[in-house]
Amino acid sequence: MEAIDGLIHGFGVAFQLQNFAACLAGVFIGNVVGVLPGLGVMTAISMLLPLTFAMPPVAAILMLAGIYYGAQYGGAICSILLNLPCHPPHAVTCLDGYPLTLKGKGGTALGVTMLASFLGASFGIVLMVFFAPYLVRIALNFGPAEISSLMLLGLLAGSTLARGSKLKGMSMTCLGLLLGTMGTDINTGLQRFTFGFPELDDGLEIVALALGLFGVAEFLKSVNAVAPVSTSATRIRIADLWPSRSELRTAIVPALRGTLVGSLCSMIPGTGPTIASFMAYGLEKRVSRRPQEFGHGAIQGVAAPEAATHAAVQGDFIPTMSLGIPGDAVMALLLGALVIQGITPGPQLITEHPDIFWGLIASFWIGNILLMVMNMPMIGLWVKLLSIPYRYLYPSALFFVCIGVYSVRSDMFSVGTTLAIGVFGHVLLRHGFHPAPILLGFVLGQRFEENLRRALLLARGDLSIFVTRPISLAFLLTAVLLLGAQLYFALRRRDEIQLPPSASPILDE
Amino acid sequence: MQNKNNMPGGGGGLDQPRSSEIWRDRRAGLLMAGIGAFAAVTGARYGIGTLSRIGPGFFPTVLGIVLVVLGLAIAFTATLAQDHEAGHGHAAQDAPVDWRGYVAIVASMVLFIVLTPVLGLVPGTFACVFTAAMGDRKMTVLNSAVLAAVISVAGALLFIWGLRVGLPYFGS
Repeated sequence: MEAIDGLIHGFGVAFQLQNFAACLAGVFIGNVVGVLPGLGVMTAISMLLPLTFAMPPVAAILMLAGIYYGAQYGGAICSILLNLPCHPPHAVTCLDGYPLTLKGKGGTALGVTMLASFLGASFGIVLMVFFAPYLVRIALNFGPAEISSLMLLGLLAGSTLARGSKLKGMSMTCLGLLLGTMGTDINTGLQRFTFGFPELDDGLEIVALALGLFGVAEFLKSVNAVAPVSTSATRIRIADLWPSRSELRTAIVPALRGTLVGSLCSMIPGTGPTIASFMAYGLEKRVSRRPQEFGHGAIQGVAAPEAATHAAVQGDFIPTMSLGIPGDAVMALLLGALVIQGITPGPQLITEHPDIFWGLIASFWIGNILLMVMNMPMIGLWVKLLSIPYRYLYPSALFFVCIGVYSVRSDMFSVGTTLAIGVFGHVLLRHGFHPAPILLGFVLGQRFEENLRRALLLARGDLSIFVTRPISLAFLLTAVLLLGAQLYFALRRRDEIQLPPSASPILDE
Repeated sequence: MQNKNNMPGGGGGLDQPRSSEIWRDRRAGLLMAGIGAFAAVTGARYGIGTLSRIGPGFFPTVLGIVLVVLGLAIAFTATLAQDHEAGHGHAAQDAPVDWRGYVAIVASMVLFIVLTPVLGLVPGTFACVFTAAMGDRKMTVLNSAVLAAVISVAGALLFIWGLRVGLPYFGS
């Protein structure tokens, strides 16, 4: 069994001291960031990205990935204890998690969340172990035409399935692709959109872009607008975390259903954890014999969406690592980190860099177990962290942004770029644009153009190559289907789950 | 919709976007169309090439045109393409810009860029954190100074001593 051998190799890699430490640091930082009010996952990963440049590739990726799934645990704590939908995937957990806290069962809700999360994550990982190598085998036969079509599908899915207006999402993707063309053209050596700055010859720095959009722009939006958080109602003891046997029995089937929903969602390009958690909650409410309990502290309403979120978070890594096509902005940033480390993402990754692929998978398990173990005794610390005011956070974070961007090329020009992008990003935010697809387009841009060029070169300029090759046609048809479905849903109002209004204007990935 | 400053003639629910939102989308769409037009025109100058051998300008031009179309679509279907989720935790995009915080944050980064190469990382960081912190209305001068001092010492140690960033503590 190729997968089992790979996994054993992966555990060997992940248990090396350096990598284990990176994983631990990642999940810890992620958990802290998930809890801290006003800091999003994207902000955190982009802030730490420059620090990983000095690390070896495996450790860097394990740490960055750890931040991502670690933050999911932190986000759940935020939702359940404080009714704050800090992280979109966990917004729906507020609905029943917070009522449970009010009933004095907040500890139980957290305990169930941890178990459900672990279940969901484990299933997502198993899926990746067996599904990704299979995907890779198919994808290795792709020519430039197939890759172009697949990228088009991925870009379309990433931009239309995000929250908010679809047109705006697509325009953000286009903008990202355009930003990706900045710098020296690989084929001709021509300088594009450098505006006469030699510093832009190598293109826009991804760290500057990410920190501008998800750091500076967010700070500009949130300064003086993040409400202080009261944690007085939330005293949690470790003993409270263990759910009773009957509570476990109520939670287990919804958690399994949630896991399935989450895994399914991760298969559909572009449907990330947020959609998964909402779907899982909706499904639970529909199949329940007592739907009136939902919203008043039903343990199922916590277990199902949390399991779904974590299954989808792990599933997100499948297309990213096996095809090199990121599903959302977080994955785009991880791919960006790989590229900076000199590793080409794509189907050849698994054979050329088995350490990274299998090490990452093994570290997921280690990281999730670490998170479980860590969360039990540290719950009190998390609650204290929740009350750190934003006015101490953002000035410190701003320094991190400046020095982080500077350190990439030892160049103040990048810091200036970050500021400019931040101001522009704030304009975008104020006009109802969600900047996440920009990063998606930016990361894929160069490879997309490259493959498009090659495909047309091979076909001697015949555009029909994209529809005469069956796999490419299938991708394009899926893309059309996706657009059609979007149009259908846009015209037909969907029944929305009402969320509690967010006390602070935080954050969408 | 969480409407803080009730617009005259607005105040509708999800079905009736307020006029301010329509104008916001008009501006948004025109902004995108403008960027797209710029990209398309500039891209065309880079050389579009032929379909069998596409030039460096092909991709930017196509993207620019798509962006123009999308931008116009956003601007003129503003009522249709309503952001249904705008009300959920996105009150910020309707709230007025907090200029004190805004100026402080921009100034803090400018100070970092200008001062650090001349005076060194510690003073640069101090200026950056202090200025940014003063943007918060609840922050006092003393609190900002303490925060800035702590961050500049800890930050300089972490980045210069720990991560070997090539900047001096003090001086250029």
